[in-house]
Amino acid sequence: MRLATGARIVWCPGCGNFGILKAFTQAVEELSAEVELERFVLVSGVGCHGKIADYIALSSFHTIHGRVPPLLTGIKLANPGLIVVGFAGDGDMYNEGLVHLIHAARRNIDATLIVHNNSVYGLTTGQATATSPRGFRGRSTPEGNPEEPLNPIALMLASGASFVARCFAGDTAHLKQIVKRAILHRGFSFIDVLQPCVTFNNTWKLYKEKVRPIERPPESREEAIKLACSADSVLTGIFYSEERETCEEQVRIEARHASVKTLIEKLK
Amino acid sequence: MDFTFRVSGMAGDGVKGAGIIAGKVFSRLGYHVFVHVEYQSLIRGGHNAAVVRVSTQKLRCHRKYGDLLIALQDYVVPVHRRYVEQVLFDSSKFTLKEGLALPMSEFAAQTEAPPVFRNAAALGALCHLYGIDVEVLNQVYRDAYGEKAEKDIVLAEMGYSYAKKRFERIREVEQIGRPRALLDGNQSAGLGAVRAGLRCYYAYPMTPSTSLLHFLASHRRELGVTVVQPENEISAAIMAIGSAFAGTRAMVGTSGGGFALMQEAFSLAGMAEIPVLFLEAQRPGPSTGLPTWHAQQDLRFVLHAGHGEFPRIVASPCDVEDAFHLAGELLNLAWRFQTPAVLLMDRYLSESTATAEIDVDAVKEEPPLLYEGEPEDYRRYLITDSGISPLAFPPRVMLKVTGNEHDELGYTTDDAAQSAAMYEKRMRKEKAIEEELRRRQAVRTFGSGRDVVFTWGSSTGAVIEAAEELGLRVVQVRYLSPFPKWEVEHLEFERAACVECNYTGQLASLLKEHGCIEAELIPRHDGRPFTPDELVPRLREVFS
Repeated sequence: MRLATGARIVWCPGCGNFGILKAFTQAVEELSAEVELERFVLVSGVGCHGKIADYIALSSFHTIHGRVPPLLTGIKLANPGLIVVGFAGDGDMYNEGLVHLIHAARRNIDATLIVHNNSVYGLTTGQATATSPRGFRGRSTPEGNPEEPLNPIALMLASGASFVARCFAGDTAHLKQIVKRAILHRGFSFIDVLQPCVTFNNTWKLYKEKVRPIERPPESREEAIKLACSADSVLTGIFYSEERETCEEQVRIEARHASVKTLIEKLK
Repeated sequence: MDFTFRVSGMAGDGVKGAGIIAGKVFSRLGYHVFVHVEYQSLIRGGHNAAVVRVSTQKLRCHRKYGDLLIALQDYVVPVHRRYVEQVLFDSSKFTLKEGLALPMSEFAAQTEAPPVFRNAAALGALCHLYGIDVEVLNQVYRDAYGEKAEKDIVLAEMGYSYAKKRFERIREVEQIGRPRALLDGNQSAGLGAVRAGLRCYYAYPMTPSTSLLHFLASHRRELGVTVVQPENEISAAIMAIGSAFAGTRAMVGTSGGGFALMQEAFSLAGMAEIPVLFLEAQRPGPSTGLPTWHAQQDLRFVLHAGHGEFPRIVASPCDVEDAFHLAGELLNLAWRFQTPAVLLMDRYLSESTATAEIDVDAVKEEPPLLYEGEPEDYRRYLITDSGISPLAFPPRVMLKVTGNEHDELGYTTDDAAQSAAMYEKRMRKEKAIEEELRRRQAVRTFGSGRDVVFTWGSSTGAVIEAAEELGLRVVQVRYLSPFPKWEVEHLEFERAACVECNYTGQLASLLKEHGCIEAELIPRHDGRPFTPDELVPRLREVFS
C-alpha cells in the first residue's frame, strides 16, 4: 500500500477496521490524480478505530474521545484548502461526542466523517454503546442492555447532514466508491460503516445475511428518513445528498480590512 | 478634579448604555473615565446601576461616594442615597421629598419615543449640571446610533433646557484635552490578541466573557477574525486547537464554569503542544455562583487546570491597558513555546469600561520557531535542548499530531524510554518560559514604602489608590505561571499584606509557597470588587 506508514497494525485479525482502512486508502489513491495528497488531513478519535491515524501516511490529528467534529471544523476554518476527513467510533461519536455530531451536520462544514460502527466498546473490552441492540450482553450489562439503540442515519438526516450514507466494512468496493463521493461532496458528509468486532461483537454472519443495497434512492430528506426508520433489513448506500452553502463559506473571514488603531480611534 | 455619579434603574431601563454614553461625554473632553456596572442575572426588572467616575488622573477603579444619582425607579433611591449628594429623578414616575425633579417619561412620551429613551433627557440635564455644552452629548449619540439618534438628541435638548432653567450647576467641566478611547477589559484583550495575529475566536456565551464575543463578532470583518459560537465550550476549545494545528492563531473566551468544561482540551493542547490562548473571566463560584458579580477565585484552578503535567503560561492583567498588552504577549508566548496560555481576567476588569492610552505598536505578531528543512525530513516533536520543536503545517509537510504519548514523528508510542524523553522535552519548556519571563514584567511595582501590599488582577486598581494614601508599596503579580519567584524571593520589606477577592487567599498561599512570604490576607468574597474607600481602613488595620 502506497500510503502505508511504518507503524505495526495492532487490530485483531478479522477486524472490520481493515476493510475501512483498505477502502479509504484506495479511495484516496484514486482521488490523488485530482487532489494532492499533501492537502489531506485526517482526524481520529479514541477507540480501536483511532489508531488508523498511525497507519496512513497523510497528515493527521489523533484527538480525544468524542471530539472529532469540532476538530475538523477548526482545521477547515483555518485552511479551507485542506481536505479534512474524520474517523470516529460508535462509542466515540454516538455516546461521548453526540452533541458535536448533530451540530456539525447542522453547520455543514465541508468535511467527511466516517463512523466505525461496531456497536460495542472494543478497546475498553466489550461494553454496550448507543448502537448496541437491546438485550446485548456486555461486561457492564450482564443481564442485557436495557436501552434501545440509536438510529444514526435517521438522526443525521433529521439534523440536516447534506450527505448521509451507510456502508458495510465487508464490502470494500462499495465503501471505496461512497468514500470518494463523500470526499468530493461539498458539505458535511456522514458515512456510518457497519463494522464487526471479532472479539466483542462478531456480526460478520449477521451483516452478510441482512445487508442489502438501497434499491431506489430516496428523492427527498423526508423519504430518506422514512427509509432509514422503516427497513427491517440493513440498507447500505446513499440515503440522501444535497448541495448547500457550507459553514466556512458563510463564517470564514479571509482578510483584515482595518487596523486595530483605526478601531481604537472609533472608540473615542 | 475627581468626581463620581451614578445611574440606576431596573434591567431594561438602559442603565449600562446611559453610563457608557455619559462616560463618553467626559472622555471626549479629555478626562479619564471609569464606568463600573452592576446588574443581576435577569432581563427585565431588578436593580441595575452604572457608576461613572471622572478624573484628571488615570483611573483603574470606581469610588463609592459621589455627586449625583440619576434614579430611573423609586426603589433604587434607598440603595444609593447615602453615597451621593443629590438625586436627579424621573418626576413623571415618582416623587421624592428632595431632589432634582425631571419629568423624563413625559418628555419621552411627548417625542413619541419608547420609555427607555427617557435617560437621554437625564443625560441632557447631566450636561447642564456639569456645565457641558449639550452638543457634546448629541455628537456622542450621533456617533453611536447614526440616524437613529434623532429622538435621543431631541430628548437630550429637552432635558438640558429644563435643567438649565431650574437646577444649579454642580461643577464646571471644561475640555482639558483630546478625546480618549473608552473600552472594556474584554474588548482591550481582544484587540491585543488581534495585534498578535489572532484570526479565529471561538466562544460560547458566558458572563462575564460575553462582551468579547459580541465585540469581535461585530468587528470581525474589520479585524479579520473568524468568530464562531459553537454548541458548547468543549467544542470551542477543540475548534481552537484545530485551527492552531493548521497554523492559525486562535483563542477562546469563557468564565470558570466554561473553562471547567475545557479541561480535557486544555490537557490535549499541553500534550499535543498546540498553542491556544484561553481567556478566563472569573466570576464568583462555586457552580453558577453569582453569575453577574465579581471574584478572583479561579487562580489555583487555572494553575492546576487539565489532567497530567505540562507547562502553561498564566498571566492576569490589572487594567484595560494591561489586558491589551498581556493578551498580545500571551498569544505570542503560546506560539513561541507551543503550549496553552491563560489570560486570567475577572468580572470587574472584563466588564468595566475605562479610558485607555493603548500603545498599539508595543504588540505585534512575533513569529514562532518555524521548520525550514525538507518536507520529508520533518519531525513535529523533534527533541531539542529547549524543548521547542520547529513548527510546520500541512500542506507543506505531513504533520502527525496526537493526544497520545508519541515519538518524534508524532506516532503513538508506549515505549518507556521514548515516553520519558518526550515528557522531559515538554517539561523543559517550563524552564525556557521562565527564562523568557525574567526579561518581561512578571511583577509590577507601584509607589514605594517599607510595607508592601501584594495583589493581582483588577484588585490592583483599588489597592494602588488606597496605598498611595497610606504610603505603601504595591506589588502586582502579573505572571502567575511559571510563578515569578525570582521577583518575590529577594524582595525587601517590613510587613506585607495580600489583597484579593476570594476566601482562602490564593495569591497569599503562592507567595508563601514560592517566596516564603507571610502576607496578611485582606480578602473580599461578597461578589463586589474592592474600592479604595473601603480598602483604606482595612489596610490601616494591618499596618497600624
